Amino acid sequence: MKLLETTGLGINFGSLEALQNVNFSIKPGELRSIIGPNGAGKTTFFNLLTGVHPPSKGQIRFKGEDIAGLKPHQIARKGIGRSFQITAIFPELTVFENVLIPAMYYHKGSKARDRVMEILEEVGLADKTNEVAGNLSHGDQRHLDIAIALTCKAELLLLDEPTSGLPPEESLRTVELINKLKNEKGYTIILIEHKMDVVLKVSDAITVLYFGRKLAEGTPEEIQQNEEVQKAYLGGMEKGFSLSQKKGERAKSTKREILRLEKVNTYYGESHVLQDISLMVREGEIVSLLGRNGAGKTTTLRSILGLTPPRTGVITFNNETINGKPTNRIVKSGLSLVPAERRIFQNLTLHENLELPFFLKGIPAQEKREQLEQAYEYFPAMKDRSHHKGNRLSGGEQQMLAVARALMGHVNCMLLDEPSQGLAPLIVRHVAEIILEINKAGVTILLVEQNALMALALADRVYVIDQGQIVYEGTPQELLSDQELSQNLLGV
Amino acid sequence: MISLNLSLPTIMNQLLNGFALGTLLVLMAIGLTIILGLMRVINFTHGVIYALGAYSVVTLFNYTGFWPCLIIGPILLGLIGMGMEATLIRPLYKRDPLHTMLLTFGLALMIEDIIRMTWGDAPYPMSPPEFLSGIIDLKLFIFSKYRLFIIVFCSALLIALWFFFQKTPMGKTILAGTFDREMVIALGIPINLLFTITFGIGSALAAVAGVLNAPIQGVYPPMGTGIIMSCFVVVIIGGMGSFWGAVIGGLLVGVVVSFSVEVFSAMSDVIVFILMAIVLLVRPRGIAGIEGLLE
Amino acid sequence: MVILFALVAVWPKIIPFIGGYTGLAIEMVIFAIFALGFDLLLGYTGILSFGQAAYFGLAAYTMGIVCINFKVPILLGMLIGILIGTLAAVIIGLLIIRKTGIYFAMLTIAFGQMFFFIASRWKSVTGGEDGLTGIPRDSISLGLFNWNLKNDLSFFYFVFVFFVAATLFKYWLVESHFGQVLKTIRENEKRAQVVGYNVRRYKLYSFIISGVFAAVAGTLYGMFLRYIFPQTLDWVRSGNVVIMGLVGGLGTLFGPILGAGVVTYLMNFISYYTKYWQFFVGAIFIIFILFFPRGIWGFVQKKR
Repeated sequence: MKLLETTGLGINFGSLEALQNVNFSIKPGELRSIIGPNGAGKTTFFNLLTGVHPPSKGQIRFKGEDIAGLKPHQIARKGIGRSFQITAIFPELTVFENVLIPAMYYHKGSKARDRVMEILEEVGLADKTNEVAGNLSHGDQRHLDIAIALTCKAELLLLDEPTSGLPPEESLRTVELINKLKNEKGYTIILIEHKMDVVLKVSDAITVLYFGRKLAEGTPEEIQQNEEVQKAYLGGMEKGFSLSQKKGERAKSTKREILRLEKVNTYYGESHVLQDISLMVREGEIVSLLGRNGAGKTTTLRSILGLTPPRTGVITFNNETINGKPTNRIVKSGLSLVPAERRIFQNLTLHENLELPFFLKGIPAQEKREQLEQAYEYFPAMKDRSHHKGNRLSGGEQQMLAVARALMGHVNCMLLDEPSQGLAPLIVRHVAEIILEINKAGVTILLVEQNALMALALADRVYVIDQGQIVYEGTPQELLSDQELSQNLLGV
Repeated sequence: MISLNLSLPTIMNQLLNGFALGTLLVLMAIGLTIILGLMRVINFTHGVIYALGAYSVVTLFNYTGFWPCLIIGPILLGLIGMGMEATLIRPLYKRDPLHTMLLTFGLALMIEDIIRMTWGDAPYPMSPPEFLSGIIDLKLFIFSKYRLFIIVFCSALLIALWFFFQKTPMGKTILAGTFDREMVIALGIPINLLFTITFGIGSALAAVAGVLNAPIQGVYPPMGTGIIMSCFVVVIIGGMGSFWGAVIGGLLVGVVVSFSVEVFSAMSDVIVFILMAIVLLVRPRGIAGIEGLLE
Repeated sequence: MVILFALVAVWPKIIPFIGGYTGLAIEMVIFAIFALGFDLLLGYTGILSFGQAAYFGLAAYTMGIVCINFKVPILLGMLIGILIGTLAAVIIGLLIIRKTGIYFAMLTIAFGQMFFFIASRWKSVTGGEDGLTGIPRDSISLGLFNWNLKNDLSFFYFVFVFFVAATLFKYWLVESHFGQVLKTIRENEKRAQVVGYNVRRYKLYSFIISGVFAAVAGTLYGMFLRYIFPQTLDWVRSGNVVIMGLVGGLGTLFGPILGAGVVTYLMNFISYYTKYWQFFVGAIFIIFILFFPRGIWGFVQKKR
């Protein structure tokens, strides 16, 4: 007997098919994890289940009843509770009130208060009832979020990345809680998670989503062996990655350090995303930062650039301390960013996008012209499209543009965030070759990637980040030669 | 109450009036919409800056005549706007957007009284400069010369603005910023400076409208409060953050108001709000707005 | 709270010491009622409305119209005024509650202005720009005795009764489950929904109740002045109550009362010395936004 079942579930946002033909079912008492790369549709799936959006296609049945198209509050009343990736609590109310007010909908008077204490005991917050929720530690806030989800007489719990942003000890506590909820209390749980060790430990079964479709489903062992899944995580490429140029021909790196992060700690709200991160890049090197989704790769780049300034720690570039400075000063000192979603200005043409970085930088016209020419030399395909507006460029063209744009101005060190994402293998190769060329011309590269093979083929040195901490530093050869290590750190 | 006496001359006349009012509203709406689109600030001072523009004519007229006012007033008020932004509004960016809106509201109250303090409560009647007053008689219908001038001038200014946004680096950067503010920051462009300049441009546009409208509307202290609502209506109808939305919205509102004065005069003040309510209820994005800008 | 009521009860005696007079005390209390309702909407539910003056004025006008033209007794007139004001809040609320944020605020302005213009133009019924004069305030018979309201002082106590009722009602409301749910909506609307509450319905109720407060205050104001005019309906007036709420402290019980008192007093005090009270009120508002966004009472609470 299935507790929840979806058939042919799909949703479109405009022309984007966020979910396609998802068939999913879960039995009572089961714990199912949903995994998949960013943008696979995991949170969208939860949104459909909780009524945030009505599905475009397909059905959702809960306990045999069709719930597709119901409003969120109606679905909650049926017994589906949800916790959120970005902790959703009521910050100015006390812990007790946070749980009491939802509970009072479902219980009367003193029964409600009893139930609240019951729930708070379950999640381990019974001793903190009078604390203001906003002042709790992040881990406690997460537990509170789960507590709120329990109030609706839930039979099914949807937990969205409950351990994201938590330091290891807190993460462990949360996992224990999840286990307790499943084994002792009999809740049925669907879990979205990135931390593979957590997933493998608690799940009865795993469903893998990839670009809106269900890619695979099975027990943890089955999924670990599944080649399709491995490919999806490693970038959909054959083993090995060959480049037309040999590594040896690249510019020799000098020993001078150009970028250093020293015990950097960055938070999103209370979420401790980067924990004592230290890394270093030498002038002329290509250094790669690898890791899974949610590990903290993008946050590291954002911290360097000052978009998400670190709370503690020191970042130095070219012997200057840059953390705490405004972004425009940091960029002026020679850093530039190719962001993960490319972020081309759709309302400007390709050429205008390329020109924008020169604004107010005081770069002489001659030099500007030369740099623009150089950009078109790196990416000749852009010449034909230079008058097209951003929204008419293909994904590959936008990626080229994003890289070219990041070259404009005085750039000594380029930060690239997952440049291979969503691109066909041939284009990925082209991008990789361009990165080599740029590096040859003297630009230091810090490359963040999920596609390990591409990054390992390019990099002089590699760092691996996991759950906000650096867990490995070495050369690509060292990493690849240690089978077990690379499996653990990179593979499924 | 409703008079449907619409002969051709009347229609043409109201159409002209409508475009005159419309082009002025377009100018103001563009100013408001770039501030909204780039900075996410709902700027209540827009109306009183308009009023200050009109009052600048009162003061400067005796020294310089009408024409230089078109330049001096806007420049001065643009600078004042930049000053306000940098000192008072900038500290509030990190907070709830409600606060910036309330701050501009408070400023608008203050400035309206400053106008009263400086120029008194009584309205100043004004009339268009010599060679632009009077009418053009085209046998079929008649035109007011000054209103024609407004249409021409505003259209020229509009073309210049279009040029500015589409062709100059600063204009393009502002447009890029309304699309993706963080990326503009990530490219190393000093965003605070951009904000200040944008606020200045917006204020200057409001001032130009004030200067231009003074000879027709006359000058009186609450004139700012009167016009700010029409501006918001235009921005909402046309779509927040959109250049062409402001153009279409402005002309539409201008013409509708003009015709309603003729046809159903009791409603002419309120028709604007009815329009806005309809748009907000049916299609809040407006004609050409950026989706989800303030949802 | 008992202290508060005691203080307010003797307020007309105290107020002359700070340069006031009974009429000012009356105004302060009337606006306190208005602000209490507004605060329910913004301070507790997190919704900004720039058009509450619409219900304020509508109630006053309605009462005036029925009392003057149809010789309806005062209490009944008040009731009718309040009912009509509330009805307007219900209708408008149903129309616009779907929208959020700035769209919602703009819609409240739009509807407020519509009422303003109807009041200004419909000369035959509302007296147009000149307003409606002759709203009665004679005496009401309460079975055993007649309460003569002509005297300012006795009218003050009439208003005081409503003030006590309003404050108690609000207190009861915010401490009740309803009020708690409103707070969760303010803090995290999405979350409140996913827990099982029909958020839209709560927002609507909050809006309507806020309208009731405004309507009550409006009828009292009409009686106080014995006269009502269109400007009581426009968005600048609505803006005044926003100022009162913020200055006093949103989301607290005493804040709006304090804010209404302080702002009304200041407006009066300042206009005694200069006619440019708007300048000073605007300046004070700005100072509060920049430095004391939690208002007087919020600041005091933090200090404890």
